Amino acid sequence: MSIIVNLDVMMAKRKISSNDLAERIGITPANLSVLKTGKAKAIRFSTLEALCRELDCQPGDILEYRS
Amino acid sequence: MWSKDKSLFLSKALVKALFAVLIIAAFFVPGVTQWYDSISAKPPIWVELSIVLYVSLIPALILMVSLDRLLANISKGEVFVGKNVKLLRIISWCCFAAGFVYLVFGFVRYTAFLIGFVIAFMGIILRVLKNVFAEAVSLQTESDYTI
Repeated sequence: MSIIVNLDVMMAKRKISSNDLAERIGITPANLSVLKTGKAKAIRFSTLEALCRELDCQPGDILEYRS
Repeated sequence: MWSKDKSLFLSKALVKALFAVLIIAAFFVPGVTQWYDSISAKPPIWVELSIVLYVSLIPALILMVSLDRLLANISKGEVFVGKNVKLLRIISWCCFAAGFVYLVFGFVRYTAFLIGFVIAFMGIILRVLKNVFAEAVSLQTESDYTI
């Protein structure tokens, strides 16, 4: 897939675990894992907003495009 | 009050009942075909008719087993999944196989052409349904992997 999700990097920078982040943004750890591993086909704006809020970052810090 | 669960239960019961009827009827095929010959003014065909019925029984039984598995998957909540698409494909091919048997028998008795055509038509409808299910699987996967 051309869109890379750099969630691991941001989570390491903010020192937050998967379970904590999943609980804070209101998704299951399994779904967060789907996002982290690049298996997700789409992300809702509400989920992206919650991630940016909890990780104090911009969407571009989490999502990267590679051609 | 009628419900989705009751409907599913009825479908499963009917499939199992029809499966049992087919198995039991298999034992009576020679008797029934000979009786048919006895009341028919046309030349005897009980041997050919028995062969047709027994040969078409094979895809019929495979179809019933596939239907049973399809209903079992649906009752587990697995509706738009790849294995159900495969089951629908098998069911449609069973209809084509049975229809072909009757179409061939149609050269002996013309009414079998009509039976074969109807069965093959059902197979086409099921094939289109399979295509619809395959698209639904794609949409379901898209939905499941939207976080």
